[in-house]
Amino acid sequence: MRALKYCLVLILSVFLVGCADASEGDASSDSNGQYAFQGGSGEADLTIVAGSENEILEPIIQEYAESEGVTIGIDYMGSLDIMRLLQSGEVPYDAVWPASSIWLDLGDEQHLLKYEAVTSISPIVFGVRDSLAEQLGFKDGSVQLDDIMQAIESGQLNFAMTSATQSNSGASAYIGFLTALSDTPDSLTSEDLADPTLHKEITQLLSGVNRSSGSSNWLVDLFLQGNYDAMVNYETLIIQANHQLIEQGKEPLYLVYPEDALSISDSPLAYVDHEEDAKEEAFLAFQSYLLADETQSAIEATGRRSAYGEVREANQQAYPAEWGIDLDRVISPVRWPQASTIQEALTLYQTEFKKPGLTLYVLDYSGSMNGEGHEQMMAALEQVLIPENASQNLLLPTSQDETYIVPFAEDVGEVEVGLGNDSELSALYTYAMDLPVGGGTALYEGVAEALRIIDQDYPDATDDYTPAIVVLSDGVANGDMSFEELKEIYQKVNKDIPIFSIQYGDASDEELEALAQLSRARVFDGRKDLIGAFQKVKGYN
Amino acid sequence: MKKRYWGLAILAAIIIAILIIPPKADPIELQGYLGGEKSGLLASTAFKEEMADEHQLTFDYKILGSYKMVQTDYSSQDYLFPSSQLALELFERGGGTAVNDEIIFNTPIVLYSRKPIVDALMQEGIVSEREGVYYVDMEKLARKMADGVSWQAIGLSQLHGNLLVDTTDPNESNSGNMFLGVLANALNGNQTVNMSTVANIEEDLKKIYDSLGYMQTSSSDMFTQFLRQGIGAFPIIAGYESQWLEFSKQEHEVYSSVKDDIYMLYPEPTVWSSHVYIALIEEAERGIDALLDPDIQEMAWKEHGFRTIVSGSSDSDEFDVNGLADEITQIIPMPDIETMLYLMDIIQ
Repeated sequence: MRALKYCLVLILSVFLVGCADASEGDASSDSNGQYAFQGGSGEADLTIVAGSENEILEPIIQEYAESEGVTIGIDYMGSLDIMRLLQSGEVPYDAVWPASSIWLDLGDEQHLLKYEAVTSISPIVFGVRDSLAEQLGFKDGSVQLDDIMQAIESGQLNFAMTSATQSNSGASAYIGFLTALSDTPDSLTSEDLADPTLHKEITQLLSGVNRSSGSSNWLVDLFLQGNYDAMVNYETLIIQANHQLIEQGKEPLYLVYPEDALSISDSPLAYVDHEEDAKEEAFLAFQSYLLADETQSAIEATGRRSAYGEVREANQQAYPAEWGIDLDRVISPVRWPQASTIQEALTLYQTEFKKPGLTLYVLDYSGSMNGEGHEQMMAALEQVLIPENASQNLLLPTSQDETYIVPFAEDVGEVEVGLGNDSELSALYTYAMDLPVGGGTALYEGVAEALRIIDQDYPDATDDYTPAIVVLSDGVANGDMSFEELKEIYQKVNKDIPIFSIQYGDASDEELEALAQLSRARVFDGRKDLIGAFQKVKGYN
Repeated sequence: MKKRYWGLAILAAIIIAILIIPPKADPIELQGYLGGEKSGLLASTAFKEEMADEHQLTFDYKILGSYKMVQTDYSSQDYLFPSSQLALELFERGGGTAVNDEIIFNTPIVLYSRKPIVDALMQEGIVSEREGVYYVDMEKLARKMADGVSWQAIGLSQLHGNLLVDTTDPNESNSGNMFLGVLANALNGNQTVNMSTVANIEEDLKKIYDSLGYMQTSSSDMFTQFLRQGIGAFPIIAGYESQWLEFSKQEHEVYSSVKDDIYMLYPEPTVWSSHVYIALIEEAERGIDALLDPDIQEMAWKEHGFRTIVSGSSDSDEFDVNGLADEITQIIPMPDIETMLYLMDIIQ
């Protein structure tokens, strides 16, 4: 058993190093010092890598930057990626701000951190459409995970949740689920994880996930675009979502706190010691601003409970009781298991427990891909299709995953499929490698073919799988099919299938963005780091 | 006096001045590993100024658990400043040689909790109050933990799981390590455990630590999280007495608003944590005298809550802290290093 643990730790550490720079993905700084958010102007006095849930604090940070005349640059990254970045020892930021202390504890192997402080508290809860919550009896007092399980089993409840291997809200909720499902009331152990009953139950529970995401914030965006019933997210983000739902004339979500599976985010901000006095001062000044009474009150008004638990009288209206929020309720989160057990659980999530993926890679083999374009595409595919690599990147499909290659150039080429996560998967790589390059860009035809496959061969695609179409293109669609025609096909198929795109070379922004909008998906920038973009997109299914 | 005598007199005065005022030492910067609970003191402006002005010293540090720091590569460090004698012993067993070492100050291991829990524990006869100070019957508490008694069973239905005391990782951090010693002794009927008696408590101890799951590596981070995450996340933690005393001074405003809800409890018996400074290079030896300087010692007690020998710190009136004991009388020796290493291994 011990040998297995070490083995897992080893695999993970390789992954952690490998993924650190790849994970910057969609919202990272480029070499010109452009940050996803910048308060103040000029060169940044303080740079921070933060979880996306902190976006809501931008006005508060902006105010500080303006009044103090300092510049703060923030990039957003999943909490688990922040952990991996710390583990690599190369942190190109002055501060880290993930959603939970556990990722700093597990990440700071090189002892880079100083002045760690909790900045706010938010429980991770189920937000369930109000009338459905009522119908399921979730409004009648305390809810246990078992009640949620029953609703899922009876087909009455599906929910969206972030990926447990990418984002803190997903990881925390998942560990909470496992703990509640295990026999021991306290910390989850490696022995618990070996229990077949637990395997069955967690798989059943995760089968209720209808949409996944690599980021908690994006999960809210997704939720607001579609008609979903429920999501797992931070209390604060569900409060935010509710305001927008009401604005859209929709039902708000009722917040359900599963008593035996609850977890919290404590949003710790810590300094990364690069031994630069000016940075250290800038950090300490910013941190004391965040922890000052007035700022804490402003943070509280956004729906995050301030540090020290209580919510000031003046801010209590930001936590409406009719949405199920009870500020007097003691938030009693489950314990985090030992580090090796957490990592073991995350690996199991990726390879065994999560809903299998149905991934259709729609790949551009047009003439313009010749040479470097093709080489880079193959290098990226090597990372997701060769099992050893995929496993190191925590992106190995489950044994039930189905993966397709849908090549297109002048026309749609011959489609190939592979089942599971071993030989059939690597055979797909060989297949993709041997395809010729040349001709036009029948992009929409390629997507239409992918949709046709799902429609014909997977009648219950969204129940049985987390489906995704992943388009890689470096050009402009120039086949016979128009976007309008594709849209018609998409609507006729009438399934919630996201069409993620990886933008590459001179690919048309608008076309890929339109695909993303049509299908409630997103575009990943592969121009800087194609491999990273492929890894990132896998985190969304 | 003629002019030239003036000149001579001035020269003589300068010579005398040079002879009687010792030359200031060259300013040096020392780099070391520090137990996190002392970072409040070392990071404070008053400490930095006193050290720079009076001792020409700058203490730079990285925070590391006491056991971690003595078992890691410290070759590029000038000093280590763990929180216990055991860490020093481990350092020596690992082949480390100190130029010099000295205990700088002490603080007892205490428990921190909140009112509803203390009330419930008083009902159970685990906690009692004498002259405003709260004491924990460690034997009874340890028994409940080993038996897997739920919070619900002692009337705290709002809490999930079993009655447990959260600690830092005994293999990395000193407060957790010392509490492991306290707990092991308590399970052994409040007799210091040794290698011949350890078998009696092994199973119970392992069970308790299995239930705890992830343990933090820094006492100061855990204390902050205890204060901020609330009763549900950290019902009871083990820590240092100095932490709450320091908080009462350094974060006075917040302290005033939360103090009535936070309880400091003295385990009976408890153990002393001795903060020992280890000079790894000759220049770092200057740190010992500097740290034992009465001004620094007074600052360590009055502002940061470390009991010191030099400043005589039995005066609890210095602090506006409920339940601060004047003296700590019920002390039990920690298990010897062999036994501790054995215990640290079985709970890993």
